[in-house]
Amino acid sequence: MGLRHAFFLLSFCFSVTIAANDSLPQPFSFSNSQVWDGNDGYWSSFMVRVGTPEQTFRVLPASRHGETIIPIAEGCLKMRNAPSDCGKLRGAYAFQGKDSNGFIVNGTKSWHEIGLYEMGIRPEIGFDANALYGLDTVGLQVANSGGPTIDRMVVAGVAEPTVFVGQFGLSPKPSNFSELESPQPSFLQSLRDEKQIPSVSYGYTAGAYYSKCKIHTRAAIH
Amino acid sequence: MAYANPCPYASRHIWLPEDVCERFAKSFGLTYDNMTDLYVINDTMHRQMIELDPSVTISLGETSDPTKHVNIVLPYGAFDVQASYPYYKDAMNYFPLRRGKNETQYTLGRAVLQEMYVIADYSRGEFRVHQALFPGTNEKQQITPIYVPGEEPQSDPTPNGTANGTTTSPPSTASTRHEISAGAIGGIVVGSVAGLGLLGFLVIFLLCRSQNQPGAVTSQADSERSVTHSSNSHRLASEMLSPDTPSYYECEASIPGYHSTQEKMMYISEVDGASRMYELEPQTVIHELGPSDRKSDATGAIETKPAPDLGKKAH
Repeated sequence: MGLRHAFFLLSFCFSVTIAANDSLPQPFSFSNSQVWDGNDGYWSSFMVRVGTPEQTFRVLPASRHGETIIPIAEGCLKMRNAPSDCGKLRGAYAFQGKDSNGFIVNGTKSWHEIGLYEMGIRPEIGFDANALYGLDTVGLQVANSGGPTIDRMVVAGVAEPTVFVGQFGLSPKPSNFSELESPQPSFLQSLRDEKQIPSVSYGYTAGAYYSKCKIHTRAAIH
Repeated sequence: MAYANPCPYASRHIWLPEDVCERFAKSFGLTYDNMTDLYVINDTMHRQMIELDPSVTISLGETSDPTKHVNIVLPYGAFDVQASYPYYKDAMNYFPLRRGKNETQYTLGRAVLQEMYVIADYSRGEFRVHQALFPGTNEKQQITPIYVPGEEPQSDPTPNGTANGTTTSPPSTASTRHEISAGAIGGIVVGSVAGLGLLGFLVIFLLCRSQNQPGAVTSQADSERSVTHSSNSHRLASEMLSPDTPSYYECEASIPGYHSTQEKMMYISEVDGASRMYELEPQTVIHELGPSDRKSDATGAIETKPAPDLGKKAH
């Protein structure tokens, strides 16, 4: 509406064959990590950056929520019989030159803690974990690759191995916490509100290691 | 024994009723291992399967009308996985199939998502499933934008405008896209593997409890589009790690491989009965895809009326 009118004003001198949807945001093609992870080499992940300075993690998409779930350092440190590369196995990239055990809350200046909450993964079958929730800057893909970054997104640092590697929530559902008055918007909804994507949708496939070209996972966020 | 352990719920697998699992076992020559709860396959059968490359077609639709189904075809490769420590000392071939203890566990997990492309359009309240395509690496990705209805660009007459790329991940060659709820009925067809004298076509229908009534879905979507999304509510917790958190390797028992390749919790693809399906979507989608008598509870879980024992109450 308003955008289109603005466009026509600006394009006064220009050829009108330019597509009008120059003024509409384009879908974001979420590049995968290009890593085949796992002992069986079958899972293909995405990268997210959390905090300031950024801590990077490989995560898998989730449809049930719109939060960014990452392993927290405490998990590997306190896990019984944790392997030496625990953090790496959980998808944590090296941080400040050292191998990472997971998200370090003290390492980010932009963290606003919400508190310790149940994740609510699958309570109906007794499968759940607790996580330390907070708001922090979350960015998609490796730094400086054009991936969107949004401030004050819901981040959950999980220690328990029940959620072993992180997740990136694709659901537009906001998150409710008793400590906070208002629901916290999801990443997808925030992208839309900031007009970085044209709607509230996504497309996704997991990728197939067994395929001829070892096709990686793909996601498009609209 | 109730499946209540703190270890990851392996939604990389396909969780089905036991009798359905047994039919798979017969067709693929699998052996159920009581200790690990996995269906393993011996080397001979494994070799034969690789050679024969049977395929499994999962038929997803909202009604029992097969013409309205989307068929997802999975080659044997999608099921060719190995499990090692701590399941087995040495890597063992197995089939990513698990016995669901009840309908809340029935899941088409990540294994199926390898061949499935899902599109969740929350603006329209639609959920679409397609056979995934595997384009070559030098094929340029082309994405067709999804716009909110009413916000589509006016001047571009064709959706294939070059400025914004053309279609990608198009529907499978099996014709038009079907907007379906994958939770209604799943028909699983095991491709015939004549050479091994296995059963030919096994058609297993998983009938949804809710017995969906077809029709009248689109109109509901219109009226529901303005419904705000339900939210993801969290309850306060007291500790980060529970005292009886299993040790790393104990937990691995539910996940293949050394470390938990913690499956993406891609619930949208975890089509384990309609109840699960509708639990995973915000209200707009539910009403698009299901009968009119669905309601949601505080946590966004959707209960289907005729399903009495879902047990998915808000905690």
